[in-house]
Amino acid sequence: MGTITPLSSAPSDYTVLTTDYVGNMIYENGALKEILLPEGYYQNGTFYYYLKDHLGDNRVTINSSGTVVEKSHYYPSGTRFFTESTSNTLKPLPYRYNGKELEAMNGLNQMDYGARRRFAGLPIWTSVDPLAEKYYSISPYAYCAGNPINRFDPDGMDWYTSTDGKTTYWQEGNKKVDGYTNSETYTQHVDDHTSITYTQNDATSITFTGIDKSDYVSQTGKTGCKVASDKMLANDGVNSNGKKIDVVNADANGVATTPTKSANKGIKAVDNALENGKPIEVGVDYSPEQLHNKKPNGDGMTDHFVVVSSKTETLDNGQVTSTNYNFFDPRQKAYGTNSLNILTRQNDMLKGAFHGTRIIPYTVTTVRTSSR
Amino acid sequence: MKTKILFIILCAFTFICKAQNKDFSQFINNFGTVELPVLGSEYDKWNMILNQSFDKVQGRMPKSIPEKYVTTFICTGGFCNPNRGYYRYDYCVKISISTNFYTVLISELKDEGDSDWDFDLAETLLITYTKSGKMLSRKSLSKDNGERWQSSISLTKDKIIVQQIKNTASKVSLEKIMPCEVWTTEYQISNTGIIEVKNVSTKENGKIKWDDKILKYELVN
Repeated sequence: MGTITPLSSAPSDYTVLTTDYVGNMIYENGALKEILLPEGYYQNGTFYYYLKDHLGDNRVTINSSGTVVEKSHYYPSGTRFFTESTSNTLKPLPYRYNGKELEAMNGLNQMDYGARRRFAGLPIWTSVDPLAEKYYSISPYAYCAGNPINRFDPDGMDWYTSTDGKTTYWQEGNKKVDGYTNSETYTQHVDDHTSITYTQNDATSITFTGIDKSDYVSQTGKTGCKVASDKMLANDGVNSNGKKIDVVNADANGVATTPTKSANKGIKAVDNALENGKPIEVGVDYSPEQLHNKKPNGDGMTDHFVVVSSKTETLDNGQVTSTNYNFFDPRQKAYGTNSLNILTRQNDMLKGAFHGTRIIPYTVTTVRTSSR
Repeated sequence: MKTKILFIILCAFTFICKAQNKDFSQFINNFGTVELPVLGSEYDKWNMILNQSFDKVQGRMPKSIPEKYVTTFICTGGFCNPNRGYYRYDYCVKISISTNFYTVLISELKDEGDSDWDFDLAETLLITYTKSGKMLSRKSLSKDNGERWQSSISLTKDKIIVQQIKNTASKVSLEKIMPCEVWTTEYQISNTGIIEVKNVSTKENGKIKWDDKILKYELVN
């Protein structure tokens, strides 16, 4: 319960107004004025109901007999551009844009969201985001990351969105808010090659993309995998003419066995390329057993070339717990960009498989950096 | 003297047989199992079936068949030649059709190739063996390479039905509707383990379209 008490030294011609708040009930000068309810309010013996839009804006107010008593429409910034009242007796409440209370007294013109206050006519907060350290790429004063049309922020902590026009999801934030359904994941595109996926409250993965599917090239007939892989790189402005880093040792049968001393350097080269938004070419060994071990690369081991297209780091409390490297394989057009084509780091080696008409296990043997 | 020689030959024969039986036992125990019937041919589903026998060391990777088993138990009598471009044979599944003999599916994969027609060609082999490891019968059921060849296999206790699609376009280009030939072959396995072709439909001309959701060409007419 709170009380607003007038100044004791107020001039005599001022009307003294005492407002008491008891839970959701509001008293003026000791008399019940109105009761705030989740979907409307009670005033002067009548219940009023809000019809809201996807942002929680109170657009239409109707009374208990279904008669429209007020209409309001808003600019994306929150300013009302249309209002129409059909009741002479109704005293509209100041809960409008986002359903938040507009405090206009003495020209304040701010809306109270709970954790923060917002300027009424601008999508800007009056104070810094309490969770600013989680969203370092966004201004701590920006309302809903600059997208007030699709998103809204119920409490000043995090923004929410309505994805299907019916259900409103919370996608980030520190706590569940009653009336909102949790959306499992949300992907934020930080720049043209980096995206962060949030699951419920936390960043759960970060993806660095080096090449898009549209730049995929398949090998055909006598056009080899190396040529096709080089074409893919060229489509993204890089090549495979830089350093050649051999990352595994071969056994007597030409099968990849153990990591070389340069293994970490090779994996780091792959990481660097992708983190800079570029693809990188690697040679692979078909492992573990095969009937005829091809030796096209002269290292007695490399059987095929593919292009590492992206990597996704799984995060737990901000720490990387595992990394998946997706690759484009020129060998089968239909499955060349299959999302199941994944390499993972295992004992300082990159291992995985091509998922085409059959699954073919790969071990990365050599990393071909770009000279550009 | 004759008795001694006979004894030595008998011992050698017994030794070879035992070694062969041990090899076959190891070979046959590496296959996965599948419950019948298996209908349909979605990419993920068949990839799971064809790769039932995962290599635990590699971590859910298909398990390749060692070369000595390929030459002993698969490529015999000119049925397939491991020296003609095929580089990988994988264990798939044992099918419980009869308790009198083994029935297995094996995946055969060719390394790349010279044209769209044979590039990365995978074939599914059906082979029956006696309990002691003697091959009874074998057939190449289907061809797949994602572009020119697509197949759909249905396995039941009574019969095996294979729909084979052959993309006949002069140049394969995904997302477009392609002309194709399609035909169906019905196999039955006799009580003695012999694989018999019971019916082959006439080749019909049709159209296929790549479906991104199931990662397959699908017939559109």
